[in-house]
Amino acid sequence: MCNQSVGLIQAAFENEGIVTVSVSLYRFVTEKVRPPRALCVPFPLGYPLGAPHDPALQRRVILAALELLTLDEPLPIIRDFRP
Amino acid sequence: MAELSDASFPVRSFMRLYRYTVASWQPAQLTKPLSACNVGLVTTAAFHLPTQPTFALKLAGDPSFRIIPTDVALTTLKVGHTSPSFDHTGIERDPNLALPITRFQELVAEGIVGRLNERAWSFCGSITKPGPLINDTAPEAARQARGDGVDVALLTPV
Repeated sequence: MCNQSVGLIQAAFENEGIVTVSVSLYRFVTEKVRPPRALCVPFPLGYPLGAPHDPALQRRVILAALELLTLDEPLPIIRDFRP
Repeated sequence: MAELSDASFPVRSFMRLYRYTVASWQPAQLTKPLSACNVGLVTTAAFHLPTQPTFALKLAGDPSFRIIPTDVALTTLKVGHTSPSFDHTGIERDPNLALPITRFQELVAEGIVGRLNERAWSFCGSITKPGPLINDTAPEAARQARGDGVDVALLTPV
């Protein structure tokens, strides 16, 4: 349910004029909820940025998510993270 | 990617039958480079301070949120999530896994983003009846973020 909740909170932030991106652990949920921008990651539930105490991996996921904020493409944008 | 086939049978059955809510939004426009943006962090990992109430264990879910100051000592954060559907140990060992405060302090220091907002928003994601989240608490958090001058937001589930 976390992936739906994230998409719904994301919509509220976007509606306040804040440009938003989320991480998704369940692509099929995110495709149904359709938030503005989402990065689907190949990690288990509970591990949205990859692994604990792995700053390099966490950083790569964050930078890939931030990149979606800068794309000038039709929304929603739902992309896969390639480790 | 988490796979539905990895979930327990009751969870899998629920997720197959559940009617997901389509998010309703108007696109916001980025008007400045990320290096000038104030970043807001939002998570549904149910982090809370030891001094804050934990999240309620209700079937419909608890739509409330906790404000996490981003100068918090991450090791003091509690995880109020009660969902048995995911492994809590990662975010308990390293809250940056879902609330990447340290990572964003690094990105600010490097000039990749402008600044990290003084507060972050922590929800508990196990919400099966999202009406109060959609109508009340998510818009309230979003208004707070706009009031703080947040330009962009990163949201993470667990």
